[in-house]
Amino acid sequence: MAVSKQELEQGLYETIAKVFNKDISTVVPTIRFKEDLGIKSVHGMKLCALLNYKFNIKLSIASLIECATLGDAVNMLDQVVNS
Amino acid sequence: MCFLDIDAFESAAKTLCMNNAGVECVAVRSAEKSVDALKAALRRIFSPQDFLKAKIKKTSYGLPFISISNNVSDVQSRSFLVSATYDHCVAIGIAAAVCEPYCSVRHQLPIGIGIDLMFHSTAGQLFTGCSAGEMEQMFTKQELQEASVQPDQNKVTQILLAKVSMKEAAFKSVSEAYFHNGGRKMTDEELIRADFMDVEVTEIQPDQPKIKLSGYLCRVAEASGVNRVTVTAIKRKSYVGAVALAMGVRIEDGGNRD
Repeated sequence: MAVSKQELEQGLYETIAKVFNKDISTVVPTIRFKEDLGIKSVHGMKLCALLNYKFNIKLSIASLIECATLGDAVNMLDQVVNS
Repeated sequence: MCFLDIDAFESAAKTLCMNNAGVECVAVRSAEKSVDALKAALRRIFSPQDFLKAKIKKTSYGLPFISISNNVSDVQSRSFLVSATYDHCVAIGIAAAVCEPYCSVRHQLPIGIGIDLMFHSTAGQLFTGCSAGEMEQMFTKQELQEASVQPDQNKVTQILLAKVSMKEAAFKSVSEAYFHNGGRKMTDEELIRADFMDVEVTEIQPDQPKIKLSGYLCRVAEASGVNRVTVTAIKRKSYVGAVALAMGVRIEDGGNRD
């Protein structure tokens, strides 16, 4: 069943807030993984685990870390979940 | 600068190489970037003249490698492996020079090295609030079972963090072997599909971790001439770290793909 882009965005933002201990209201599409979140592979591992569980997909860390911003990650998730 | 037992990383690498006379390993820390730590490590591996001819570059997927001009005196007889890690304003660079003619076991040469460092302040809360289902996306059943027998929750977290660190180091070591040795047989897409669940770290005997590869990473390892991955964890009060070596056969025309 297709998941709307809005649901994917909400799911990603909730997960980001959980992994990086942030207030969800501060999570916006322009946030950059490396520069703003300082993502390490250990965070990538947890992000993937939570997203895989939430959306029942098989996302690799590399595909997530390749995304520059959260907005890019929503687009990537849209392709993976709805393809 | 916070305390870091850098000697433990270097001796871990040497132990993994079974103190093979043909392999020289050095680990150096830096308060700057990973590349500075790598440069410092290379200064100890190369002669001063040859060091100036060695350049640190990165592959398209961010893995450091050494580019050396052909007129370096010993480049024909030695191959060079490097890895780096950075956390909490501490970088560690590790370098190994493998001189094949002097190696006693030629079918078990180090062909990839990986290092990782994680301070508890960075990753200590990583598993807080995770459901059982979410944990099963990060660890295999065997890994979770090994950790769950610990009576103390802090100990459980420490064990799981050490496993993550060892997975990361193992992943890096196979990635380096892939880059140097087997890349032509595969596409980067296959490495990109690999994830941490492809590396299982079991520790049935205390401080004797074993690595088992599966999935995409196992295919990458096989195509890259890796026949086993060995790993050691460095567990301290404020951090965990790991050094891993991908052992196997060096393929002459494996080639530098960048």
